Amino acid sequence: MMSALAATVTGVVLALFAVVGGVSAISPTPNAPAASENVVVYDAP
Amino acid sequence: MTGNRPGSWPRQVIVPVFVAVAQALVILGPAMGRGVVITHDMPWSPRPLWTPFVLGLDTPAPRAVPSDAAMVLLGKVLGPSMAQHLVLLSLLVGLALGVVALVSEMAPHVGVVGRCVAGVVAVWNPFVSERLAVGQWVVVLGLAVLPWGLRACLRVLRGKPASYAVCVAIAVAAIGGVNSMLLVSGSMLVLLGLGMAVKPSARIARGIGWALLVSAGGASAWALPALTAADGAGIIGGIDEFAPAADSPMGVVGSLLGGGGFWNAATHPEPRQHILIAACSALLMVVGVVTTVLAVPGRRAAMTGLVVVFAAVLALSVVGAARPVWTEVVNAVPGGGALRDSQKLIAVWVVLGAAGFGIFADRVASRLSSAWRGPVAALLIALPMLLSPQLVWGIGGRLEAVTVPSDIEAGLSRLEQAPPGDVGLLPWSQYRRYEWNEDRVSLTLAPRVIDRVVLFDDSLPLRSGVVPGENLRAAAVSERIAGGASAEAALLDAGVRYVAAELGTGQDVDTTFLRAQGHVVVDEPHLLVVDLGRGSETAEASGAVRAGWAVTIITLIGVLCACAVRGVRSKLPVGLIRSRP
Repeated sequence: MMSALAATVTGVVLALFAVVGGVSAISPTPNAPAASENVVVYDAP
Repeated sequence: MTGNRPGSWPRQVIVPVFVAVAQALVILGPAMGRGVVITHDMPWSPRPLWTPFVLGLDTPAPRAVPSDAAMVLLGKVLGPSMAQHLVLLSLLVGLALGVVALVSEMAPHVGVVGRCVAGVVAVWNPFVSERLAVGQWVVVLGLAVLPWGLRACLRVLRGKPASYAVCVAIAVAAIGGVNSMLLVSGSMLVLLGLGMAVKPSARIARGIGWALLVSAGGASAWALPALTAADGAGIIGGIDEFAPAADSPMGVVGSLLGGGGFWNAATHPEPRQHILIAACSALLMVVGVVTTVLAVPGRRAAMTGLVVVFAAVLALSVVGAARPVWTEVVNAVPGGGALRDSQKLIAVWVVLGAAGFGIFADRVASRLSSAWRGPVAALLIALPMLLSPQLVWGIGGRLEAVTVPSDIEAGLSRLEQAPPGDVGLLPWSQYRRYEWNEDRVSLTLAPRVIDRVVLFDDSLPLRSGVVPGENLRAAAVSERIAGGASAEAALLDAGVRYVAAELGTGQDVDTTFLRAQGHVVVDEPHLLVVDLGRGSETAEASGAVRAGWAVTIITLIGVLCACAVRGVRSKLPVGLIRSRP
């Protein structure tokens, strides 16, 4: 019983972080070039 | 969980090693493909050449010395692609195992779970993510060597013969140049110095002496030319731009506590915009550092002092009221420019936090009932990964190996056959978005693949403005452009023999104008080189450069020979983890 409870609690916490972090991590496109630029900016998003 | 049962040592070694290698492969996956990774400050050369830039001959303050030259040497032996794979993999594996070794030194009875947690936290954190995202592998090298260096210092403080390990750590860091040396030598000297102040001994004094000697020798290749440069090296800009910045809703201090806070907003991990993620990262590191300090009985004062010293230096660059003092430090202290990007100083915090959180995890798990132990251990190991999920598989496509187009290689080979002379580089900016590199921002490859003096714009274009470079000749070209001249015309006036234009970089070059100025030597889809038929400068090593390189090479070879004599080969990472005080 305790083992099942422990596994469930752990699973819920892991799932919460996985959803929050994972969705954020895959959303941006790294270093997407600006439409036009004369100079490449080092810290361009 | 915490027991040190006879025969249990293989698990305590094998499992962390397996975790370290596996997580490195998960992070570097696409970077391990065919070709080389070219991103931001890691324009890994597909042609291993000791060019004037690589050797630091054509700049008043060489920044890629001796790291680039060492990688060229490795590239000549293994090939550029394999060399980069080996280096990147070694950095992450070495970092994880270094923290595991530090845990082993501080708390020998920590079990497999604690060691694995420490190794995972060491790698899955914002510091590694943000620095790798901009290709600053030398900073990650400093982070990776740091736990080995701190471990060596702790052994010296405990009266053990570990001066050789102090020398080895600093010598390895010296390969990375100024940034990695600052992290490793700085931390080690502070820790040894504090230990000496608390409880003086001849052994600690010897350790400090060796650390100073190897640091000075290892730094000579870049320090001597920089300190003796007559022009440019004293100009330090960008102090405000390079100050730590908030990468989360927790502000600058909250971001730094979690291991983030790098000034470059383009590297800030998206998941850290969630307060839950950022707060948990900060809490994890704070718990880890506090545990580390408490876990070193007899050396708490020295460990606390180490954290306080680095926090105090960092505070100068973060607290607005202290900014004038910080500016004075950066400008007035020899080599102070290396402190400008001060966020890297939290490397000490990250290493101590990772080691301490491993010890904390071990103690938590050992107090739980058997029913809770497994799930909680899984949670503690997985948590750091879930706090930095962007690291998975090449940091969202930033780290991916690409093949440099064959026409560039062919063009460079033809340029090698041309008469001597320096090369002016267009587009007039040092950053590129090569089409064949999926438009990733990166430094230009040219100074690393053209074995001549290459005149390029060494200023740093930021969203907040331009940080001036250090090459006065390049600055003169930029002035002419600012005065209304075209980049092509301004470069012609600089007196170079050749003009090389990298094409397909997302920036315009007037190729028609260039072709009309002289004899076209290379005309490829990605590279145009025109010979203007003039005499021009060639690179010659100054006395300071020659002396600097000689001292650094002698130092590194000396440490290597000393290690061989002591039979350190039998104490590779696995052996170090196993060893007991």
